[in-house]
Amino acid sequence: MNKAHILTPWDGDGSEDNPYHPLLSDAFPTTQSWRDVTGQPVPNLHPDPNLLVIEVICDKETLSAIEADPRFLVIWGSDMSDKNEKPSTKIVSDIRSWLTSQSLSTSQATSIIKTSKTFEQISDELRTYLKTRPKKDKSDVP
Amino acid sequence: MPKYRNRSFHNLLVPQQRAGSSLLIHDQFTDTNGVHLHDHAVSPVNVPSATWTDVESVATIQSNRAYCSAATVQTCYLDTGIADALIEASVSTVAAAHYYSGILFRCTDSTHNWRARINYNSLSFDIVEVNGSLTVRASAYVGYSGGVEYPISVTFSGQNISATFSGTTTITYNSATMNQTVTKHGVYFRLVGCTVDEFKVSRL
Repeated sequence: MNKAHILTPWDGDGSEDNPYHPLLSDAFPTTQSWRDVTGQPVPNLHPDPNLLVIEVICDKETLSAIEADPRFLVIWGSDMSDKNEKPSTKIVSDIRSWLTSQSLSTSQATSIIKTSKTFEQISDELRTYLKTRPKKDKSDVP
Repeated sequence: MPKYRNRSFHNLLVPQQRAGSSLLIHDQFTDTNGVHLHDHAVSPVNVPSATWTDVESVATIQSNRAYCSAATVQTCYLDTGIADALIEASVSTVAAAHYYSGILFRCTDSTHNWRARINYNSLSFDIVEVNGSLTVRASAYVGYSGGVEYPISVTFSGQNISATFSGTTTITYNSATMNQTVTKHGVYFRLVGCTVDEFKVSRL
């Protein structure tokens, strides 16, 4: 089994039938398990940007399928990368590009994702940044 | 559903007491069918002399289990006097969408509590934070069957929650800041036919 840290949007409306949950759990419902490792306060859901980092336990095939799905970003996976290594310049660029596609500015993405950090440190930086994001203004929701 | 009480079979299903923990509450829900849970006396163990209090709707006893008797959420708690605890129970749901059953903990009211539950929508085992809205904080696909009792347990201490399904699958959440000092814990289910049995609360 693989352990991975993955960026996913929140989904749901907080109701009994549709609680707030990571979109990934709908897209890959038989993923062995996941847990929220960001801990954003409930009153801030969905945050702006609408993202959280979850830790996922899944098989290799599922992790490959998640990697191929543009709605999600695998920051590191135990079968793909050593979380204590520093990513290549191209991977750093790819992560920044993905973040800008999720409504972060280029300068925000650059300040969070630094080339000197390991995969695990990048996950830590993202979790710290996302934990304090305010609730998305409803007027911004299409 | 046959009930195996005080038999070795049940000991295979319910997680064992951890060494060093002390049992404060054990309710086997032995009572007349239809008795409201708030009228039922906790037995056989009730160290804090706690009484069942309705939070949302009114659960009953059926076949010597706590039983969801209405087409809604039903929650009920005991004031155990401890905010960090190990809680164990055997739970079941009907085999249909929107049926849930589980352990309620650190509950102040219907909109501020935590739940460790089985969820027939996704055949999963979840940790849910209810803080105005509902948020799933951790989940495991367990593929369980409706109408079958499963042992679940949840241990919570400070900001850390660890919940286990059937003694094998464990999920955790480590940012549980809401209601950290609340000592009221109990049962939770939704829609008619869901059950909770063998409810135990132990000091860590």
